[in-house]
Amino acid sequence: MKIRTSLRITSTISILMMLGSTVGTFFAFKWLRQASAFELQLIDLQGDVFERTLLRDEYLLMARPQSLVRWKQKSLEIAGHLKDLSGRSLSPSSALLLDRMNQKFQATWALLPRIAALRSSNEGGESGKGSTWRIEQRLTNQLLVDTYLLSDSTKLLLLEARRDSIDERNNLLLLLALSTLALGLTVTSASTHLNHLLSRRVAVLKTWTYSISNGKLDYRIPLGGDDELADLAREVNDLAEKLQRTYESLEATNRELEAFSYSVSHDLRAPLRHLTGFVELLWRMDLSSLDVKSQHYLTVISDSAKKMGCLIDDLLSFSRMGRGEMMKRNVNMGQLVHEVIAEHAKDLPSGRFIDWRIGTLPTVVGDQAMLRLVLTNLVSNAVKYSRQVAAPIIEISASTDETHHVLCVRDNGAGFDMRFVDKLFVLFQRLHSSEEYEGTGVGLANVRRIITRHGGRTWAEGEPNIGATFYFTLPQGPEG
Amino acid sequence: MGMDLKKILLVEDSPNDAELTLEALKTARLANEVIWLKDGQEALDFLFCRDAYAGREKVNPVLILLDIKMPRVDGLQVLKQIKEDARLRSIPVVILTSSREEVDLLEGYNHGVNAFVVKPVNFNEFLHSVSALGTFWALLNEAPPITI
Repeated sequence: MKIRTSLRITSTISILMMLGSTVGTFFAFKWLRQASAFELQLIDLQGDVFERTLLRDEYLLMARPQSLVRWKQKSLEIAGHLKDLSGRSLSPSSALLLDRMNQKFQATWALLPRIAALRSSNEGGESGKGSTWRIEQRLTNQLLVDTYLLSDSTKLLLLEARRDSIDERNNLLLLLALSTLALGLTVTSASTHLNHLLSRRVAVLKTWTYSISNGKLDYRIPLGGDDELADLAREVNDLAEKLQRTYESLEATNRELEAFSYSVSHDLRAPLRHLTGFVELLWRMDLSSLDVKSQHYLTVISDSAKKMGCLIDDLLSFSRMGRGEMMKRNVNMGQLVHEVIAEHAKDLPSGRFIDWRIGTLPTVVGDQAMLRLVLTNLVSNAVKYSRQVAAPIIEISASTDETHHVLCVRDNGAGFDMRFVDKLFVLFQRLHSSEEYEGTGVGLANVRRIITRHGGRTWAEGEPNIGATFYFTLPQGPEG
Repeated sequence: MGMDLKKILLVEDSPNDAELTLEALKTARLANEVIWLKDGQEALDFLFCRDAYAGREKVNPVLILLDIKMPRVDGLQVLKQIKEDARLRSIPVVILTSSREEVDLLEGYNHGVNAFVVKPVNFNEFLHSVSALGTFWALLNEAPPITI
């Protein structure tokens, strides 16, 4: 299932539950209010019944007509209450109680007026006094019993109503607690689901992608399912597949190139060696019979063969520079520069003085042998192209930008025309004739190749007869 | 064991290279006879006394100079068979090649080559190298017992 879909389902369920609990709470609250209103009404009723009882006693004891009138009024109020209550839907036991109240009320309804009538008819004479008194006593007793029963039923109904209202309140509380619990469970299960997605599946995705990006191109992320993460895993797998194919074809090309350079190394060198060898053997013979021109031809053959040997060797070293393994470690460029300069100083003709100006150079991460070659090439170029200057100055310094060390080698020698700057770093391209300055045009191509493999950049600035500056950059901090 | 028995074996397919090598050995003024074999197959035939060399003297050479790239059987295969054979194993083998390839170097040493020399293009250097080789292995170095 898509993550988006499951998130949608989760939020829909949460919203529905909230709606449900709101509606439930609304009704529970409504019922609670109804139960409370019923209870209040019963309390009122109970009060009226009590008052009516007092009025009855007042009339029976003191026979005040006012009390009878008020008793009748109260009775009407109670009748109204009872009518109200009978419209209500009630539990069977409550309905039974209400029924009894109605009966007892109806029973008492006519009793007091009858007692009053008896009493007033007795006022006139004594005849039959005893029998009337007995009837009155019986009616009074009847009234007392029925009123007691009415009051008792009212009390019982009130108790029932109170219990109902307490039940409703408990129901409301229970409903609130349950809906809170259900919401909590939904949120918890949704977050567990998300956590599973994020922590486990994303971790799988991350670990395998890391392996692939670190060169394990034959790895495929084992993430099934049909969610967005599985889609992503499939994309990464496709990418790895493409990379692997490209890598394999590159490797095949590299193998071909290696075979080519092997063959160049062996096959081209042999005839050259024969050329120089046999010309050399010829020189060891008595050549006095040869004229000067013939001897010159021999010299040209010999020199050209040697030159070609150098070209082939340089070409092979250039090719090796591109494919050899790099052994990266910390390289102190300052120390390396001093070693390279010491080597060059050894070869300087006596009387020639170079003003070396060496700045503070950084320690970088790289292949020491390759970086030494870079410095050797740049320094020997600087020495070579400033040899016709009376006071040669060679300056080696470093600075940094955000990500790289920038090193530069500057001389005040022959320099070059900036129009041809593009040719400088290209294999076998030269800006000076080999009669002027010897060389095969491999040095700077090697410099560029080595620096590029280290993740840096090379460029140059120059002006004829003023000097040249060669720059190269190397990444700061551990690399690769 | 007379001096005349100390033979040097030169295994080299190119006649030009062979001639230059023989010339270079000559400058070392060694008395040893040099036998030139034109490829790896011929070298194996000689060493194992087979075919054309079935009836040769049963004496091992004092040094084998071995080219790598040769038709039929190449130098590294010859080296491997020499170093795997109990009777031939002790003969010093020097690979003399124009290849600077690391694979060849590694394989040579893995198969137990005694020295690995890259033929310099410059003839004077070549001369010097080869005569130094000859002097060292045929004169200075104490050769192993040479009877088969």
